[in-house]
Amino acid sequence: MNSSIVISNVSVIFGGGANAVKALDQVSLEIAQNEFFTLLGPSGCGKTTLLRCIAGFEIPSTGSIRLDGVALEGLPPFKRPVNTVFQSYALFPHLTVAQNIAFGLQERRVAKAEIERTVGRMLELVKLSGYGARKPAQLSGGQQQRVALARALANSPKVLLLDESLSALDLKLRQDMRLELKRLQRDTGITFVFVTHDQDEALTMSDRLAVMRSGQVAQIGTPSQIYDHPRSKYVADFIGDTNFLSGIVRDNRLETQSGFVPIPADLPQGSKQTVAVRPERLRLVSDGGDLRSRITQIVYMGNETMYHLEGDMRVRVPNNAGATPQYALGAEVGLVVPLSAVQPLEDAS
Amino acid sequence: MTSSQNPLWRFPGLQAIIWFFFAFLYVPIFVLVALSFNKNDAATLWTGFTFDWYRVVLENDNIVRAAQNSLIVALSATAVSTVLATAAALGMAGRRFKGQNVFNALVGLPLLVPEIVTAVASLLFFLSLGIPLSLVTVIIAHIVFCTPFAYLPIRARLEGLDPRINEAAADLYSSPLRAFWRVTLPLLLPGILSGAMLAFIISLDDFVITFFVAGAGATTLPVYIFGMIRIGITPEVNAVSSLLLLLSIAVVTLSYFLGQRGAAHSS
Ligand SMILES: Nc1ncnc2c1ncn2[C@@H]1O[C@H](COP(=O)(O)OP(=O)(O)OP(=O)(O)O)[C@@H](O)[C@H]1O
Ligand SMILES: [Mg+2]
Repeated sequence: MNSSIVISNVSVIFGGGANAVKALDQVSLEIAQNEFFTLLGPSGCGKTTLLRCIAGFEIPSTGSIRLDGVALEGLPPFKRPVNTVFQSYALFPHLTVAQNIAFGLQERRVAKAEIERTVGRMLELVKLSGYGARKPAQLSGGQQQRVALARALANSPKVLLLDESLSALDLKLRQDMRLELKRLQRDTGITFVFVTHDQDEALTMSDRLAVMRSGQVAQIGTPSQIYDHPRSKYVADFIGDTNFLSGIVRDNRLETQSGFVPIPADLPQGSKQTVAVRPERLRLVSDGGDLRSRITQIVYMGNETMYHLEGDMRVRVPNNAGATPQYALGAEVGLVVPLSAVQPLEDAS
Repeated sequence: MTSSQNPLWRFPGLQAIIWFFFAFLYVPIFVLVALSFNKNDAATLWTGFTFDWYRVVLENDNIVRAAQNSLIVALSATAVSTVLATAAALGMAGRRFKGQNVFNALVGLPLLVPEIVTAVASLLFFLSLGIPLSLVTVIIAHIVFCTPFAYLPIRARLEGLDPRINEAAADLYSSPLRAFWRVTLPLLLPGILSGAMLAFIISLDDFVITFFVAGAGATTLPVYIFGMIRIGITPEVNAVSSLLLLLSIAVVTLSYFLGQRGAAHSS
């Protein structure tokens, strides 16, 4: 891989003694040049801390970070060719929007005319033309977030670090900005490291993503690798809706309480195993099926219907113009589980 | 006011107490200012309006010299103590170290020490080191007791700043020094101004410490007024006092408006 950022064994420990917090625990990952890489994980799992290590605001207690082959150790933040869009925006309150955006360019002594052009272009990009003379306090939260984005982007850094940088925008604007960011990635060659809580955002925007769990990387992969082949219960549960089926492996099938499920051939006979199956990959039938269960709740969701079944299972059935049969509440139904939909999980149940 | 839900308002005679309080606070000052325009030089008997006493004051070389001394002392003490206080506040910001609370207590303690104690101690200090009393000793003493006053608003302002803002500057290629000039200092300015104004007022008005450590010819206005009063309260004293009051009000008003502007800039 043509790696732009190589993070090896980075640990960060806050505080000392009994109340020390391991915010990052031996994190290793590589991010390619011009990749859109996303860090996904619940609050407090260390996403911001990892970004701060790359930007230079946090010094890892162990491990190293390299950018284009150059070790970043000892390089202060203001010498790193990296720009950050802060989770709390951190706009300069005493400067206007235009002055905020021009800040980095001025510090690098870019020519005045060039700065003016760039600021204009950035304002246009984040749809804030005409707001250049305002102070940050005179903007809404979403507008401030866009200024923070423009302020970082104006410098055309090698790496752009975005900390939940679309979270304050309304749906329409967020979708626009997602497209803009993807377009910028194509046009500029900037490497994006993007932090988000939002799994849809992570799946739709990323080339690859890392799912994090209390300071560690749980899994790295492309969106489809993560969605279709989660390796752990944690990842499967964190991304999308998932059914978990547990049982004993017998004759290349999983023996569960409600029937037999096909599984890949390489699992050891007689072992306890949990598999994940996405609700949209299951098929409901009246007779037969791999599993038998009973419908406990039916939720109509417009383009599809969600059936809740006994044994904590869910099935999503698309509503294509009456083509699919309807099932009644309380009816006994069969479930067809295709082998390709079954994802064995590494962690024992 | 009386319609308030606060049960304290039902306390009998409370309003009378409030009026008495304000009267006690402000009537003497009004009387002093009024009498400074009194024609009669038997201070307490009103016989007509005049500006004469102000003319007398401004023509009195001793008073003018005392006023000059006061300004020299106040301006130097303000300048030096504000710089010291700013440096101390910056040094203390965003840092956790052993004995931090002790440091903060030590900075604040002079505000609690009785002034007469500081005065005697300062005098002892200068005498024991063999430093002759002069305007310089006054300035040194003022710098020392003005610094804690200047420190408080500066530190309060600094603690209100988002530490991420400094990181943002560093992220945008500002070296620590550049970040200080372009970001920290402008944002800190309202606090520095309030600190400076506070130091100025405190210095301008100080009597006890100045009285002890001032050498010959280093008389400041409060000390001079004290000397005049020993002869008797004349309309001249009223006029000087009124001028001092005017200066104080001007400085406080200025600081208020500068503070407002700063707040509008950065909230
Ligand atoms: N300066 C600090 N001192 C002590 N602990 C800290 C500090 N900064 C972060 N932590 C702790 O480190 C862990 C990781 O924090 P971090 O900010 O990286 O989480 P995050 O994944 O960005 O969360 P969120 O999604 O809520 O922003 C948390 O448990 C947090 O409490
Ligand atoms: Mg965070």
